[in-house]
Amino acid sequence: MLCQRCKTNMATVHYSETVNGEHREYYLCPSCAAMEGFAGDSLFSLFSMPYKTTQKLHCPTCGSTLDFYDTHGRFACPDCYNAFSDSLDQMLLKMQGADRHKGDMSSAPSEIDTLKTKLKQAIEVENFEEAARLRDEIKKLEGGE
Amino acid sequence: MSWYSTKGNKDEFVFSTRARLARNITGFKFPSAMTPEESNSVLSEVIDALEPIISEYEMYDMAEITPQKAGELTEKHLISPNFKNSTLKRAAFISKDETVSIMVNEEDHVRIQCFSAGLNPKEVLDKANKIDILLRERLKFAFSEKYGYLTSCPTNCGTGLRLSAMVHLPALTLSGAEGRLLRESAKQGMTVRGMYGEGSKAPGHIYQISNQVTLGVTANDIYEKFCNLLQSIFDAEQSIRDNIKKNISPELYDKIYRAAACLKGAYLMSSSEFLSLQSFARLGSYIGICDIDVEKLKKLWIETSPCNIGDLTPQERDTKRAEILRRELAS
Ligand SMILES: [Zn+2]
Ligand SMILES: [Zn+2]
Repeated sequence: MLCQRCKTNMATVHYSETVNGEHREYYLCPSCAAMEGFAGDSLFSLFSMPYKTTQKLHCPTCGSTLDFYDTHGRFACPDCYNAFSDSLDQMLLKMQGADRHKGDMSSAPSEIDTLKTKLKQAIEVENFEEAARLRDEIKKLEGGE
Repeated sequence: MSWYSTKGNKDEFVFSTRARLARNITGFKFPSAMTPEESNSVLSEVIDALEPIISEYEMYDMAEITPQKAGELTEKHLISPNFKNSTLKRAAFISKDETVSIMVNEEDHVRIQCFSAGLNPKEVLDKANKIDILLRERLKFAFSEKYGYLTSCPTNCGTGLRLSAMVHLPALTLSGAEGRLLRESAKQGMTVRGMYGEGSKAPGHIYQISNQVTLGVTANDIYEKFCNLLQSIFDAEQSIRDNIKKNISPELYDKIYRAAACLKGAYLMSSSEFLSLQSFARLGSYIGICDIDVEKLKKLWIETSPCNIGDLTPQERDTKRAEILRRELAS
C-alpha cells in the first residue's frame, strides 16, 4: 500500500487516532510519519499536537499490531481481521482477487454477537457516544428474546 | 486394503483427491500466537466436540508419537511435515481406514482433511462438510460475514476450502507443455505444484493441483472450477498420450522398457529412482506397450516410501524396496 501523504513510498507505518470522538487511521511511509509527528516519540507528539492521542493500530482483542503479520505471515487472532481490515482488503484483493466472502453463511454470528464486537471496538477507541447507542441496541435485542 | 490402493475414477491420471477445511474456534488466539496452555484448551474442546464420532478415530498425540510413526503419517499426507515439532499441544484424529484426518493446532485450530483414491472431489467434499457440520453444532467457529471463516493465514479465509488432486502427467511434461499448464491454471485461480510443494520440481511427473482462491467464491464455485480445469488438463494429457502411442520414438520405447525391467529386477532401489521409473512404466502401460500392474505400483509407492518401509538405514531401505518390488511385480 502506498503512503497516503506522499503517494510514492510504501506505507509501513500504521497509526490510529481519536480526535474528539472521531476515529482516523493513517498509513504512512516512515519519513511522512515523522513529518506528521507520528514519530513514536511520545513527548514530541504530546507537545506538538496537544489534542491528539496517537498509537500504533492494534487489535483490541489480542493486542498485536500489523508487525505480527509482517513477521509471521499469519494473524494472531480472529479479531485481527476486523482490526486491520483496511490494509487487509488491499492485500486480499491482490492475493485472492476479492475482499468479501460469498456463499455459506450458516456460521455467521448472530446480530447480538456482531453488536457486542462493535461495542468492544467503540470502547477501545473511546467512542462513548457510539458505545452507548450500541449498548441500547443490544439491550433491546436481549429484552426481545 | 488401504484407500490409496483401491481403484478410483480417472486412475490413469489421478492418484488421489483431497478436500481440506480450515476452521478456528472463537475466543482463542490462532496457533501462530497461542500459548501451550491455550492449545491444551483448544484440544480438549475439539475432543469434546468429536465425541459422537470419536470411536471411529485413532488419536495421535504429537508429544507422544515416535518420529518413525510421524514420518509414516506424513508420507501418507495424513499429517503435515513438521506437525510433531511444536511446543503447542497438537494431535491428529485419523479414521481407521485413513480416509479422514483431523489435525488440531496445526496452522489453524482445526483442519479437516478427507481423501479418496482417483478423482473424487464430490465424495471428499461431502465427507469434509459432514464433519464440519457436526463440529460447528458443537463448537463456535470464528466467522465473519465479510471474510467468512477466519483463518490464521488470509490465503485460506472465506470458505477455508482447499480441494486438491495428486495427478500424473508424464506426456504433458515430456512434451514440455507444463509451463503452459501452470499459466493456464493460474488464470483460473488454481495452483500447480510439484509433489513436494511450492517451487519443487515434479519428480515422477507427479503434480499437486489445487484451488488458490478461497475467498469471494462459494465451495461449489471451487468444486466446478476444479473439475473443469482438471478435465481440460486430462484432455490435453490424453491427446499427447495418443500421439506418443502412434508415433513413439525408440528412445522413449527404451526408457519404458528399461523402467519396467528395473522395477522388476533391481537389487537396490532408492525412493527417487522408484518415482521416476514408475512414471515411465505407468505411461508405458497406459499407451499399451508394457504390462506392468499399475494398481500394484500405486500401492507400492506408499508402502515403500522411506518411513513406511520400516525403521531402517538408507541402504537397508533401498535393498528392502527392491526386494518388495521384485516379489510383488514378478508375474
Ligand atoms: Zn510518504
Ligand atoms: Zn487479534
